[in-house]
Amino acid sequence: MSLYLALIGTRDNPLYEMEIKMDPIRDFCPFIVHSALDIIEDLQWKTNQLYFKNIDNYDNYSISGYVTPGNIKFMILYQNLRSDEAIRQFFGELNDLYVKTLLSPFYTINEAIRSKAFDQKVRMLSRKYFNL
Amino acid sequence: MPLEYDLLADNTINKSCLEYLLIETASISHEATVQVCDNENVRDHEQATASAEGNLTEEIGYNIGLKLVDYLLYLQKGKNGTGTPKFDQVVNIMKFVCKNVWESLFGRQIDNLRTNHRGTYVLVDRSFTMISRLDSPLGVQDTLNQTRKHYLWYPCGIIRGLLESLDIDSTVQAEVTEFPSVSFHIQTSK
Amino acid sequence: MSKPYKLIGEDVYKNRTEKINSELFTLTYGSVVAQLCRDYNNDYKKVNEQLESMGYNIGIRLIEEFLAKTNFGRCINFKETAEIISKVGFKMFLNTTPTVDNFSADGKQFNLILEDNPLAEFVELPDDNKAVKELWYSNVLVGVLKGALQMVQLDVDVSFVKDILRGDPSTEIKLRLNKILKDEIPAGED
Repeated sequence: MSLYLALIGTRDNPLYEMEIKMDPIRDFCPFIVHSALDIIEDLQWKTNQLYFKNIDNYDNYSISGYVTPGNIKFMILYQNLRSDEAIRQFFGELNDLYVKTLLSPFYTINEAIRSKAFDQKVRMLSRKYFNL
Repeated sequence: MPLEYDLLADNTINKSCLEYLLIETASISHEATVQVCDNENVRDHEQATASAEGNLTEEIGYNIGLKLVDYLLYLQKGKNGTGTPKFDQVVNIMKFVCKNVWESLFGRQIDNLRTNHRGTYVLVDRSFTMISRLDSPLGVQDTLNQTRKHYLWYPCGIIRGLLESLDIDSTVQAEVTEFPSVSFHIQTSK
Repeated sequence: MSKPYKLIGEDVYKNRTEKINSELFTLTYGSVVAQLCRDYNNDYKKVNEQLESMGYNIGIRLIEEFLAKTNFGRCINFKETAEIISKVGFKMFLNTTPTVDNFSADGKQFNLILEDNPLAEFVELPDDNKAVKELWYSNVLVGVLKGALQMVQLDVDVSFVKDILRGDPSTEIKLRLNKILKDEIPAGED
């Protein structure tokens, strides 16, 4: 099991990144995920759902995404994660964390998320949902 | 603690708190502007120009507005399971402002939305809650002055910030037509 | 016998105030503090002062609403004042009841412990290593307490001593009674 997560801002700018056990392709993760942004941008205007599962693949890694109403994208690149439902719930809780971070008065929209508390919480979520 | 807060809980406080804060914000804006120039002893609030005053309160509303789409729609989904509205047309965004935003912030919806289909939108709130209780002992004219000074820049900033977070540049102005009715004039570039 | 202040506070909040969504207030206050930090180039001592002075102006206004809604007369002693501040004052405006703690032997000093602080929900201080040492984020409360108490003839020193935002285990405000202002003591006071 392995996971790379990136939060992408409204100008396709990276806000936050995290990876667990992605060694073989670690350096390419941002590029792989970035190349899937177009796919998600095509899809998001056709539906009002937030979660887009399995939109692309790279070798034997899958890519899924989630778009907040304010157009912030949560992208994951992963191998052998437990279940769809776990991914959906992971994104849901991540949305909660993102909104709370956004509401902090010293955080500006589209700014990189440097909060240690945020990073810790995201890692907790990865343990909770994916045993990582 | 950071990130421990329950966003979906229905927490309330006394509305006066916000009113007091906005009044103070309007009166310090002049000082704040001056103090940037290292002149901190200026205490004469009366000298504050309407625009300088507007800038700080408007700026504060604007910073809130930037964050509202993600916040309010997250709440709505969590509380009512409602899906995200489609923001493919500006008019849909305006409807969102009139209904969801106004309801969440001010407890009631906008009464009337008009557009000239060339980028101008007019939103009329016939009883804007931030001002509906105002009644200056100095008379109607003073009530109107207080309203303009303290309470209108804030919602204007909120609207401008929200639109900008959805990539729409705008200028927003408000006027009191017949107290406590307020019209918001939004000029968008799209 | 002391009055059932807890019930009075709850009753006033529930039945005699207009309420708003507390996050709107939290966001607005946060936006004000962040804006002041920018305007003062992160000189947090100046920000603290500005917040306190805004609070003072709010306090001298807010006490009128407080007295009008409660009809309270003079307190018998500072202990009663503490009870009223926590169970009626904070409850009525911020819908929270801080704990009164650490009363000094001379009965002139106590701490208010804010288990909930509606001003500071979802706040993380800037990570410049300075804010956590210098900024009292909720310092407006210091001014509010000072201003309001002064209007009822109590000259009180008020300051934050701890704040969860700085990594302290709790958020605490210290109040110390300097003197009872003499000018308006009603006849019959011993």
